Amino acid sequence: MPGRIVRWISREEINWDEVYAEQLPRVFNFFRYRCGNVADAEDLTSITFEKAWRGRDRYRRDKGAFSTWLYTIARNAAVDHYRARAPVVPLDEAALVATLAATPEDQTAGRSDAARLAVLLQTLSDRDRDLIALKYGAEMSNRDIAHATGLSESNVGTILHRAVQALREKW
Amino acid sequence: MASEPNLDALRGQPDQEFADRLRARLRQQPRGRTRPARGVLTKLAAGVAVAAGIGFALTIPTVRAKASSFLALFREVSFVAVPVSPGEVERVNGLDLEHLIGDRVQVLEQNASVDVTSREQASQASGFTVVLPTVLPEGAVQTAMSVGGRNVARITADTTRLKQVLGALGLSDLEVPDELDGETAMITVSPMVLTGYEQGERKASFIQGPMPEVLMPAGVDLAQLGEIGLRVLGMPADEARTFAKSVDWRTTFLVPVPPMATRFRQTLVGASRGIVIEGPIRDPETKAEKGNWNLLLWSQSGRVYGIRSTMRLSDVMAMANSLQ
Repeated sequence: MPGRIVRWISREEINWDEVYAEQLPRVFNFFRYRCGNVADAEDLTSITFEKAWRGRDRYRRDKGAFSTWLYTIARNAAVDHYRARAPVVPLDEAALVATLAATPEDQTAGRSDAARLAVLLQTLSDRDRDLIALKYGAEMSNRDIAHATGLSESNVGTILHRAVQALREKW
Repeated sequence: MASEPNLDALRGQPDQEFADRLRARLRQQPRGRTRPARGVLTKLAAGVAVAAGIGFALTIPTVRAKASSFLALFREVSFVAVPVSPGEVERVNGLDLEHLIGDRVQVLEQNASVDVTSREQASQASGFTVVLPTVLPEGAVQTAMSVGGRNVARITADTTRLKQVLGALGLSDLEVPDELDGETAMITVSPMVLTGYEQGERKASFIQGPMPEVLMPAGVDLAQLGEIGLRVLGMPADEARTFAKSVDWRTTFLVPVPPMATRFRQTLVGASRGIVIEGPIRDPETKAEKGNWNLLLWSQSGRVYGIRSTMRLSDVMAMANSLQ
């Protein structure tokens, strides 16, 4: 029963129309960076918002910002997604991945920046891709990423710096 | 290196048709305070089950108690505020309680809340005489009134699962007697009346109703149960044991003070003792402070009352003292 009281007093009055308008593009972009292709990004965005909607009473503002909670759901959805399937790379990018390891600069030349970035992100570790997706997809600050991931802010900065460096070398 | 990577290259707006389709799908799902009763009760029951289940300790070997020998708890209560650290909140919230003990919770009765338009309707629907504040803050108006449904659940103790919960909470020093296995507790949540008020952007929710009843098998060591509850809330072992033995658990209601609260204290509403918890309202995104919230809880004549608000505390106290 005391738990119920805590939920009662800490329940966030959420304006869902506002949340939807503001967070939909960010969550969608998080998955674009996380997974690469639009279809998966749309599927996972749907899953995230449906879970958030169904679990809206579980959101506790004492646990942090609403976006942090939302991205916890999003990141779990991404993990479930990768667990559920073997790595799948869209056909048009598969050839690019196959040749990327040899001469990335030459082989990716001529491709659009988006396609190049999508492919290069797949070469990062899962953790690095997660942080890049939070930073550049969801446009979160390093501090918010630290809250969302449990890493220290300085650690987030270091990992992101190295990940960007790795992308730069392969670009 | 050919050039700097374009790290913004993948960012864009989702397809409008996709956005509209998802929004429509979400809107088809129920929302608002008439959330499914089972969810409320299951969570409530699960929370109680953890506290009750891991605290069950029968002081007599015969545990085949009949319903007539059950103890009725919490008929009259005093509130005791227990500060909870962020770490404890994280630990408890991190447990998947529904998975751990959800199948040990049987919902016997569930009823959704209903909106009403008058005090008379609320009294009729709730089964008790509803009182309302006769004094409201300047410019405040009543905006909503609803009556929660009666919900009843039975929880069956499962010592294996309870040990898992204890272990997950890092409380493995607390033992769960094997004799508990299969014992049941009954929780009844009577209809509560919720009234909403608005004063410009400030809001208040006033809740009133009978105390929820928890019926447990005769012989339960309530002090040990209370000790477990306190430990779950993060109180150190020695302190929890001493405190648990010093209070009457049939009439004591623990109120965890969440980490977001900045202060709490005892107060008087008329002649009844209550507690006030206060804290800042922060913008969910920027975390900038944009006001204060307060919670006033008190009990009188077998009923519990609470006002959660973003109004001034002095106004809230005036409302509480003017109930008729």
